[in-house]
Amino acid sequence: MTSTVSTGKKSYFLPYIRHKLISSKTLIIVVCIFNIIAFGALCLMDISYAVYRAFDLYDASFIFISACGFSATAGVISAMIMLACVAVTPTVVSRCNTNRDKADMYLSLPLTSKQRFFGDLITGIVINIAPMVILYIISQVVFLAAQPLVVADSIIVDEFTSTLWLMPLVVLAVGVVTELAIYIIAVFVNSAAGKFSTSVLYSFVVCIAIMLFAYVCGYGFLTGIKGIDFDFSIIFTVITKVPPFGIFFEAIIYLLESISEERVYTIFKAFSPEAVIVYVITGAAFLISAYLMTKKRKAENIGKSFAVGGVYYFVLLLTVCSAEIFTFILASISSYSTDFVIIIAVGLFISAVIFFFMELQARRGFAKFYGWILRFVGITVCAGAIAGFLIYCPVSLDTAYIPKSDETVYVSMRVEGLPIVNGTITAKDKEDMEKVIELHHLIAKSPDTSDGNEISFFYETKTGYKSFSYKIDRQSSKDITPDSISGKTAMLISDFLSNDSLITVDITGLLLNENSPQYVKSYERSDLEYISREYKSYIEKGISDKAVIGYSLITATDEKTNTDFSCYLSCCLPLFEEASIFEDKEKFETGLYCFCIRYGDEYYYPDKKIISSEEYKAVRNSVLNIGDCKVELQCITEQYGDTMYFCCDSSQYEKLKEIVAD
Amino acid sequence: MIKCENVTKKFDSFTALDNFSLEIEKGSAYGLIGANGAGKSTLLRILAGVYVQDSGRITVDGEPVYERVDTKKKIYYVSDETQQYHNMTLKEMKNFVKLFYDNFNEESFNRLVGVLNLPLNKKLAAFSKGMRRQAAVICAISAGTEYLLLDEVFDGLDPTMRLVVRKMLVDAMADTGLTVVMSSHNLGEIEGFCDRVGLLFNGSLVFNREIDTLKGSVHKVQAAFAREVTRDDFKDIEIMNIKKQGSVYNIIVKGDEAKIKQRAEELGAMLCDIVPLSLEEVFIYELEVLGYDFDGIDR
Repeated sequence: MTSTVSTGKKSYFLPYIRHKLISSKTLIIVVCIFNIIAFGALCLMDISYAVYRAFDLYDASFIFISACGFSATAGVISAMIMLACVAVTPTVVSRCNTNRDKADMYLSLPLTSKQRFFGDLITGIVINIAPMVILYIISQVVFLAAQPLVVADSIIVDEFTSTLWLMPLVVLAVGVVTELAIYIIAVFVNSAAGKFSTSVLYSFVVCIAIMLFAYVCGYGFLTGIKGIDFDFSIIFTVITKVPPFGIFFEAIIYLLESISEERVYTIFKAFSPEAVIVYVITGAAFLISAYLMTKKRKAENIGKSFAVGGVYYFVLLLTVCSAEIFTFILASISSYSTDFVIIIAVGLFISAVIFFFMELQARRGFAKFYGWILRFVGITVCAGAIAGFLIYCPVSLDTAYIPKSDETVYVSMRVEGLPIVNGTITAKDKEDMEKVIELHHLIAKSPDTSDGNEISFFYETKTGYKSFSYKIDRQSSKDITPDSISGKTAMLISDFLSNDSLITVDITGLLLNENSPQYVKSYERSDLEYISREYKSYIEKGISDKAVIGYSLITATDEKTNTDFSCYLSCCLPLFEEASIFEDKEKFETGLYCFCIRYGDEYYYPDKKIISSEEYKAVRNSVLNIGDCKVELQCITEQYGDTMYFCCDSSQYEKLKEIVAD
Repeated sequence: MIKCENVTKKFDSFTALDNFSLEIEKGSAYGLIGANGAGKSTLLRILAGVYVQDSGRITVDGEPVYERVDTKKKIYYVSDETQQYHNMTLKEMKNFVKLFYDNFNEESFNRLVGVLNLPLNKKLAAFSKGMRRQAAVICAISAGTEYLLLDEVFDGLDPTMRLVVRKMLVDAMADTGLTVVMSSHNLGEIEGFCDRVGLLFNGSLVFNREIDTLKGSVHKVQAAFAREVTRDDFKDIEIMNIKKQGSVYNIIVKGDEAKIKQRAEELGAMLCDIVPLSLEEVFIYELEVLGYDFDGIDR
């Protein structure tokens, strides 16, 4: 009797996934345990925070802080283990890529490599993502059940539940994206690996190396741009767009900010369009590469460190090159030749050690040692070329990197150098900003001098911050005249740069509250009345009906004595009070006020005492009546922890002390 | 029918199969023999679709195997290792095989498990090597495929179990028309089970014959001559090996038995016995002809 095998078009794709899920039960259990711990900790923290927010339980804060601290620790440790599980999942699920016996078992099955690849991919995603989603749903059901237990105050309930609903959703979104990013990288590594140890080790190495490479390239690029001030926040802006941890890092920053500002939803800002685009592109690239490697890889290469050798060189380049590029960039900005030699020597030594261990792991021996040397030299040349490109190529971008007016929120220009040239211009209007940016372009093209004035530009753009610093000599400063840059702002800039006995007064006001955007404006000359008026107009416009916290900065130079001073107005609440805006607000009626008076280097601090707002107002009125801006009066309101300075005539200094002391 | 045409497979600089050609009839039992590294396991893996050949063509019933689901449905491959099933119970292993082979015969599986008395719910890691082999063979037979590729399947089985497994395979062939291709170093099993045998050496097929014909074509002659004889005295007969122990010559020859006897008499043989060779002896003498230095090992 002869049997006939069924050769219908039945797909074994789903049975394969089912089998894979069943055979990965140990991993599923581990992932579930740590998901439960992490989500449990999150919920505990979330409930504590929500209760704290909703009920203003300041007295019980210690308990809640402790609960939050404990939960956060447990949650972070569990989350780390979860991420590690994600990185090893492809190795566990696709054992046929790294184990010869498993390859015999799975590769002989009636499945194509495409079905195996996508079967394994989906299995891994289900193993890691499904527990998170299920726990999220459970947490929401629990919160829903807990809602009636809360006091039936609709506002409190709203506050309470909005926090409860939002936090796990945020964590779920960030967690899923981060886990997917790590998982795809691990799938890529596993598709190329021939050994279990390689697959696990390099999954972690590649995840870290990508971030490292992005950091080094960002660092190199910024180093190459003339004038730009190295600022970690700029690098961070780059890193937070790079998978697998970019959005995760950004979310943590927003999380910390949101807790203090009570705006949990801001964490979603971590999903910036740039980050999403980069994630999608790199994810697709890794996934397509992994698929093609799975299709092309040969089963006989199992047992070698890498079944697809090209990936080893990719990882080698990514890690060793990053270390070497960083070395070359550091060396390029070193001031002395001895520093240069030391940096190069130490950097290359560290790179060589990393290279040595990677080669030893990948090749398991010292055979063809000359090949090692050739590869190291090749990588060093490659790193040198990349570093050179990063350092010298952006020279052409010196001006291109300067933000344009339509992408700038405001730009500040600060001049420092000779004692009498010192001041800041802040431009927010489009026309003003264009003039400052025009000057910036002019300066960026001129050569730096070591003994000139320092000119710095600070931009707040729609995507972040950029700051630049240049040195220009006095003659170059004078070359910049109102003729070369026209307009009111240009006059001011010109004054800044060329007038030896300049008195500049710049006032920058910043208003912050939860409804209004940041407000920054500069004036050629101003006074406290003007600020009051300006603030009052903002209040009248209805921008804020709640507390407004702000500060103002006054910088000025005394023409007669050539003494520069700055006047820093912080916490403008009493100022509003003067503007009769908050007279009916009880919270501003009393407070602990402390005065400090400074003239030059001398400070006068009377004893701290609690005074009423009426007393405070009396002192303030006395101070304002004394005279023009020479002496500072510092006022600390303990309730808000802010500082306030006022200015008066030096001749009135003693009198002022008496007023305050009284 | 399994057909290999000019198949070459290289592992870096090592050539595992070199322009290899072979045809295996459907319903036959084919034995692959050869020294270690001859290319037996490589050939089986290519036939199972685990490896892909570098050049040449392999077809099963006229269809390529690699990445072809429909062809692979007809083939079940048992590798020379059983490590991959360690974390499964026999029941789980059965369920796994059943998922992918639609013709899986549950009844046959239960019967064979009963015959061999294997525990269903114990992890295979706790099985002995022989028991794991039995489990693998049970699943292979029950898979209900048309072709069974067995790599060193008798390895680790005691003589009784070898007989049982052999019987199980023979029954399956009789019942379902199963085609079995097996490699083994246990030439006794090949001799007792297979219809045809192929000897691989350095990736090439040295011979591919029916076992009975093969055994009938090689003879061991024990003869005593009045004078010294050399290979040259047997010009028209293919001498594979000639050794003298005292006055008795042991000569391994290929060819017709009567012709050999006649030549020995012409040379004045005082005594001439023709002894049949086992497959193992044929294997050894064939390899010796190909350059294997067994005398060197003896020394």
